[in-house]
Amino acid sequence: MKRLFNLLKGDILQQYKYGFYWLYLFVTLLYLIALYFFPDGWKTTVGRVIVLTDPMLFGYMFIGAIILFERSEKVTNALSVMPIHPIEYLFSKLISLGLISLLSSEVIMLGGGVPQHCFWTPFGILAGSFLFTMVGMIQACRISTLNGFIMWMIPTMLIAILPPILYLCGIDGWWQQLMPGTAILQIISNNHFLWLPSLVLSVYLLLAFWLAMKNIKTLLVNE
Amino acid sequence: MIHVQNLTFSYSKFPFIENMNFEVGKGEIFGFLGPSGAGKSTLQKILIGLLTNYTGSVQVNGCETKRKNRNFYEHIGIDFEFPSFYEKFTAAENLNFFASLYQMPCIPTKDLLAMVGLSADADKKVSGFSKGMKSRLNFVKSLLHRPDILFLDEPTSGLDPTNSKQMKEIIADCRDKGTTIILTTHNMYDATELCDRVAFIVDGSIKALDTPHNLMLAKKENILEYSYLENGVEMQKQTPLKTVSEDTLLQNLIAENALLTIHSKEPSLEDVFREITGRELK
Ligand SMILES: Nc1ncnc2c1ncn2[C@@H]1O[C@H](COP(=O)(O)OP(=O)(O)OP(=O)(O)O)[C@@H](O)[C@H]1O
Ligand SMILES: [Mg+2]
Repeated sequence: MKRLFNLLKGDILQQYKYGFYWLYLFVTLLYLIALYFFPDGWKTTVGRVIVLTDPMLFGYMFIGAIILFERSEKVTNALSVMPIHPIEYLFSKLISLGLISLLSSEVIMLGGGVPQHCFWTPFGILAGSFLFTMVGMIQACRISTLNGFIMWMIPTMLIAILPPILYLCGIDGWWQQLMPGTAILQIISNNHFLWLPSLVLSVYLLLAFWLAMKNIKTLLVNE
Repeated sequence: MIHVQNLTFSYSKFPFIENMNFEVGKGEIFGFLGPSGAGKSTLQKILIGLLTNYTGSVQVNGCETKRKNRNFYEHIGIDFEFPSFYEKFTAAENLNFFASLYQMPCIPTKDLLAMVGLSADADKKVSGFSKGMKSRLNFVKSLLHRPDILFLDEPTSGLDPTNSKQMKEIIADCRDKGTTIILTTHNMYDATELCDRVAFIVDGSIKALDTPHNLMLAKKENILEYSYLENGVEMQKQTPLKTVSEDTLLQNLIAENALLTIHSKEPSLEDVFREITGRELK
């Protein structure tokens, strides 16, 4: 527990030093200003799209950059011969990026007057952040250049964002219900438990967790 | 501390390390000496538990390395050939972070930095460090948790003589405090100076294993080399030490006080290495 806490401290310091928090702050303010100019009838929908896409996908992009940095600096080599467990490495990244995602989302929703449920909305945001952080992590473990990561980014974003946007536009096919983005959108927009989106999201989370652990184990041994 | 029995390992279907055996005792500095590609780093990776698909037995600190858990790393320290740091962190931030991952109390960061002359650079970002500074920082990172066994891969490469000497003193000091040290190197001077025993490694096998002193004594004969003037030209001659009494020229020169230089030449570890393995060290 102490080790996880110290890893987390290291991750937060690293994210701070790379200027990620200033970027978050800047983008959050930008969205708040943009949201201010939308008519009241639109605020809720636009606010939810912002919360769905931005803070969560930031986690995805940042984790990609973090892993590539750590690999090029060979920090992963150093960690591979220290008494940390792969699951601690994973949790530290998930928690640090999850918390900042949640904070930024809450500022946008509270500041922009977007309604939310006190449990299900933050729950959905955190689950979404965890999922996309793990997806970014898996991809960044397998490729070695920033360009390679950007190549993956475009299809990943499309798969993540397109189905929930279509859903908001009134197109609601059964396949969309099986996509992670739609599941997250529904969870953060409702004020009660939804079994199908929760089940879908759980399946993705478990799958991503399994793959992430597999890749981290390789990352922390083989380079 | 380290027991290796019938170790066999390969990256491919061709055999690489075959039936290797050796032991390293507590408080010993043990050197792996060999040319590039000999398998030194491979052997080190097996010993530190990063390569686990070997056969035979490799016991390090009482633990079979293929069955180690993360606790294994509380007691061993590794200085890899390439520095590994958060480049945006300062030297002190890096050491503090890595120290915080161990259970036991670590050596204070400022003492570590002072050991390798980096006190003044404690609050500078590692990205601005020179190669030698990074090597020194990497070295103290490996010993911050007072490991029982220390693995060093080319620790002095890229260092100037002063820093290299300082690092060797720290290594010897660790040994005196009971740390077992595995030193991987191509540098035979370092090996001769530091190692209690060395293993010559070529093509994945140990060709010789003994103290540097015994290796040098056993193999080549010692030679006496002297020079003198003959018709105004400096001449040089060598004579085996064990038959020196038969060298009448030398005796005459001594009688006439006419020697310019005289010294005995012991074979260096490099000579011995070449003679035993038929290979150059570099
Ligand atoms: N991951 C790997 N996969 C396949 N072959 C490898 C791998 N790592 C090393 N080898 C091969 O194993 C052999 C030994 O390499 P190793 O790195 O152990 O040599 P070394 O003695 O440490 O050399 P150097 O002095 O250059 O560091 C080389 O032929 C190398 O090509
Ligand atoms: Mg090597």
